[in-house]
Amino acid sequence: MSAPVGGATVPGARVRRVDVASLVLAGLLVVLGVVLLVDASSITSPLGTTGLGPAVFPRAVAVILLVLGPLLAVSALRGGGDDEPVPAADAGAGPGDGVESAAGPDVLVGDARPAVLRDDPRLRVGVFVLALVAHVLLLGTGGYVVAAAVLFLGVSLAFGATRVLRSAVVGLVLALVIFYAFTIGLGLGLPDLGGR
Amino acid sequence: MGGLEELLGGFAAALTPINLLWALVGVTLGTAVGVLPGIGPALTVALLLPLTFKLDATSALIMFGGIYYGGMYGGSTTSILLNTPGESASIISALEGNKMARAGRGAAALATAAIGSFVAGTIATVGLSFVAPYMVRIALSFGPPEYFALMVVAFTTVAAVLGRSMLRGLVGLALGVTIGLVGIDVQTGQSRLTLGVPQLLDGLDVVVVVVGLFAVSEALSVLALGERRETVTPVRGSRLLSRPDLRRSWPAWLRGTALGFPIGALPAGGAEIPTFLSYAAEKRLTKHPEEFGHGAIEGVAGPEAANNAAAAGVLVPLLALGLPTSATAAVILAAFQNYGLQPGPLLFTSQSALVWTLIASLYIGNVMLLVLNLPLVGVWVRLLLIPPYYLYAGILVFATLGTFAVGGSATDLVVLYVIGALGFLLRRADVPVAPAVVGLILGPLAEEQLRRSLAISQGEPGILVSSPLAVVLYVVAAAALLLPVLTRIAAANKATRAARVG
Repeated sequence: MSAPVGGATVPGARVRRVDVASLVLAGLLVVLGVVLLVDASSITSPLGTTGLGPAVFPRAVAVILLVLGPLLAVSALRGGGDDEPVPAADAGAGPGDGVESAAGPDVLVGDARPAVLRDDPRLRVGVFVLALVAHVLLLGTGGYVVAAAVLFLGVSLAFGATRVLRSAVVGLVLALVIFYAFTIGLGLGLPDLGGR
Repeated sequence: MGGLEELLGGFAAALTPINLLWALVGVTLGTAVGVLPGIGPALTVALLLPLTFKLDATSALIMFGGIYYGGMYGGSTTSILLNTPGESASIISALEGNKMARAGRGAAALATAAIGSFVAGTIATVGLSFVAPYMVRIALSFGPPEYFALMVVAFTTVAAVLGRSMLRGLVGLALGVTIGLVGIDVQTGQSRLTLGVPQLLDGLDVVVVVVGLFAVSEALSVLALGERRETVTPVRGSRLLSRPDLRRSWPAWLRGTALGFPIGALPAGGAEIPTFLSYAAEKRLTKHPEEFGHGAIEGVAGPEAANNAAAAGVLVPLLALGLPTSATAAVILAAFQNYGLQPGPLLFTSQSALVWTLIASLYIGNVMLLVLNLPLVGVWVRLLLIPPYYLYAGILVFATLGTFAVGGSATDLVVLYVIGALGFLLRRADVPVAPAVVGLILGPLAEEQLRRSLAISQGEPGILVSSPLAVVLYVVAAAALLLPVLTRIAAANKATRAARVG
């Protein structure tokens, strides 16, 4: 997968988007603030507490969250006009932009084969989330080795692995090494095949 | 000369073969993990924390010091050789460093970064040895009100300094403090914000939060952006600095150290500032201004030195006051707490041998890093060439493993994923995650000091501003909040005036 193809599949990545994330986060802050207030109201101060009880600090944090939420929403709706521009992290030469370096051609990280999964962020994120969920579910049934191998395979596919079988083998070997290193070497309990 | 005797005692303890081995393991693992793209020092320390669980406190902390310094070193290699810089502090060294590498001077860039890190790390560790006991002596006179005021300063400066705006810094901080509230209130035994989930009664472990915020959310952000390819610039040439390079490097190392250590040692956030200041200073002072932007060696030497000096400086408030001022320091504090140790002036008196062994092992780790780094560059380059899909798959395997190791239940993994999703949202909204980590650790400590103050005064809030020091600290905190706003207004005025003239 060459750089131009990768670039073409994320059209408008640099175009100023509506700051949906900030709005969602602003909503989350308000919800958290309310949850915190409700939770604090159920906390009872034991008798004989001098000074501040256990509910005062949470209430103060709740108030701060309830102030910050709307402020963030306003900032997002104004297009972040009160903010400085994001410092250009990509000031350096981009990958594959044709700049020939004097140190010889740059070495591409990874291999040149096409990825197994199509380069669609939604598909890739989906596979990633699936791998994480499968890991939790498998821990209790298939044990650590199976769960970790599946996690490795899923995440590697999400990140554009080029060979399914090779990813599966690498994942399995890594999981086995970790399992024995941790259970025997460090004496840390990891669930074995039955999930115990 | 307080401290010298204890320091020598620390060396005696740290120089045993077994402790040297732990230091070596620490610096090697720290560098190897720190080199991996996308893994900054905070995540390095958090991912490797579970490895130290089975060790006794002294060995664990020695290994930890090695991991901390090693992680800082590893990051600079990445930023020089990989064309996409990772965490904020190394963006600056990537500016000139990657340009140098592309111009065929990668070896010189790596050498000036490694030697500069060594020089700065050593000078700053000497500084730590002498400043920390001094700070302890002052801190012993602090009461809860002064501590609370100090923490307010740390809160505001961390929020003000990191990220693109004060508002977003405060949002990150407030979320961290909220997460820190989860669990049983230590003083009264009341459960707070546990939402009826028994596994949450112990609170959220900082390792889980850091791994979620830095590893899971980083992976999600990379995926959501779509595929992009990275390239590694090959290293050619001698690994030694030429005489002109050395002549240009050493003043920059010293200037970087002079900026980095004092700012890092302040009990306030802002360990990232010195790297920026150092870059600006080198750009102004250089005799080769035409090289800046195209690979000027001073632009690597200065910021790298500043970065490492600040990293050692951060340990001053951490060890002497128990005050974490960076995400990495917050994780280290959590590591101390795992052993039932609370950093602060009392630790210096009650566990003096342990603290000085740790400090001594920092000197040793620094020497090891210099010896390791120059010949092992080839190995680190090989690590950089790991395909991203294996890299992220491995990171996720170790992220879940670390979470499982500290928590021991599937619930902790669910918490990890939720925090990861939250971190993804924060990144999308341009909210820095480092203040959240500081808030998580500092929030409960601040609450404790606040409640202690008010318990002393029988609920009379006047005690908070009863000492001149506390008042001064609140003024500093207010200035940290207001200054950026004022300078921005001033800059905006200037811009409109300039626009009118132009």
